[in-house]
Formats: sequence, structure tokens, C-alpha cells
Amino acid sequence: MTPATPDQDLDLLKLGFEGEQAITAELYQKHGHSYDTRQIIIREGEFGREVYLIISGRVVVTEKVNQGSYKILNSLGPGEIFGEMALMEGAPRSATLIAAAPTRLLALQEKDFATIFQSHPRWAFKLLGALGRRIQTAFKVVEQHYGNR
Amino acid sequence: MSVQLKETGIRKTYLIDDVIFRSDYLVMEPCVYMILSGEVDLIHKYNPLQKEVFHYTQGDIVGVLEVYTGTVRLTEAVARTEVQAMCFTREQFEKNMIGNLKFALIAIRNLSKMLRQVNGRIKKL
Repeated sequence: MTPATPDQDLDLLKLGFEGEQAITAELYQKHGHSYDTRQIIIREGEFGREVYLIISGRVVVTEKVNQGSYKILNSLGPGEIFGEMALMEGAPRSATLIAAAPTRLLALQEKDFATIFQSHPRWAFKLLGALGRRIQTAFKVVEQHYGNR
Repeated sequence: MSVQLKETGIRKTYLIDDVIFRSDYLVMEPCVYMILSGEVDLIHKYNPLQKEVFHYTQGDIVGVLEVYTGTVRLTEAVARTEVQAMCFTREQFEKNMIGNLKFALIAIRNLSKMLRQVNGRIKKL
């Protein structure tokens, strides 16, 4: 991740310090996106450096089974972050993420995410917690598969 | 390795095949380990026949998962070579996370790689 620059966006710094309560209309205007139900947000295998913060709605983490068919691995809600794995590892997107309901989120470029990440430790702990929960769920998916055989 | 630590933990040495921590154990104060030298395998058993092995080397941080899932150890850590490790309490670990961005990024990357590996297995099921 690249270091934050001196010309940082003050709204982003506020988001960093105060958390999601600092999401304003101005911030949403700059970084916000909305997705309809079933709309694909990121695709597995693509290269992308944005990190997403869910404001409202629901996003499912999926893997493509065949043409137009996806298996759900996980489900994410407001306040959760996704897209950080590709950024942290410099690797392609590991899954396809689809809006499961009308969804609004912030799409943060690498430098923007660096700004908020470095502003407050909550973001590091938030990422650890999110990854921990997703790993736990992924373990259960594999265990259920072997248990059903 | 040039990570300036805010808090130093207890330095521990493990011989080859030593178990650093066992799975399914609930401990009141789970430790987080930074590998100073050597190689560690982190093993999660899905059932008696199927398991996932995560490989870690110098500079990596292991044992974080359960601290943030609040569960018993989901993995077992085994020394694959002689290992020197720094063992942190949760409090020490969190002080290092707050005080050192590089340390925090290592911990996050290590979990991220773990998730990618399990997702890779799910795709092959």
C-alpha cells in the first residue's frame, strides 16, 4: 500500500478518525456508488486496487460455478469492507462480489484507503476481524462439503 | 527484519516438529507469534483425512485468527525447522498493531493469504 499524501481529502481523514458515522453526502458524492440487486461489483480474476466500504444493503461473496451461476461463500453487510485482499497481496480479485439487495458503498482508491487506514487503528482491527470471520466461514463450507460426502 | 516493535514479547525456541499451539484448545490468553527465524506449518483439519496446511516463514505472524474470532484454536502450529519466535499477549499484539503500520500490514496479509488458500480449495470441491 502506498503512503498517504499531504494533499489528503479532509472528508476521508474524518472517516478515518470517526468511522462510518463520518460518511457525509459530500463524501458519498466523491466516492459513492450504488448497485442494484444481482449487479456484479467486482469479478474474480480481475485486477483492481479499490477497497469497498458497504454503507447500506448486502453483498455476497461468490465463486462462479458455470455460466451465469454462482455459489455463495459469504455475505457482507453495512460497515464491512471488501476488496482489501487484492490490495494487500497485489494479486487478482479472489472472488466475484454481487449486490444481494440495493446496495450503496464507498469505493476507495488505494491512496484514499491508505489515508483512512493510517489515520486510526480501528481500520487495521476491522480488517483483521473481517478476515477472521471469513476464514471461519470458509472452513465451515469445506467441513460441510466433506461431512456430506 | 526491520520491524520496530512497540512491545516486545517473550522469545521462545522450538525444535523441529514441536507443537507451538494445539487446535481445539481454549486458552484464557491466546498468544500471537511472530516468526524470527525458521518455518512453521499451520494446520487446520477438516476431518481425519482432509486438512489445510498454511506455510509461514521468517517475519510472518501466526495465531492471530482465534484472537479475532474469539474461538478455540482452529489451527495447530508445528515447527518445520528449528524456530525462534516472539510470543505476544493480545495486549502486546494490539499495541504493536497500533504503533507499527508495517506490523499491522503483515498480520493482515497473513490472514488474507490464509483466506485465499481456503477459497482456492472451495473452488476445487
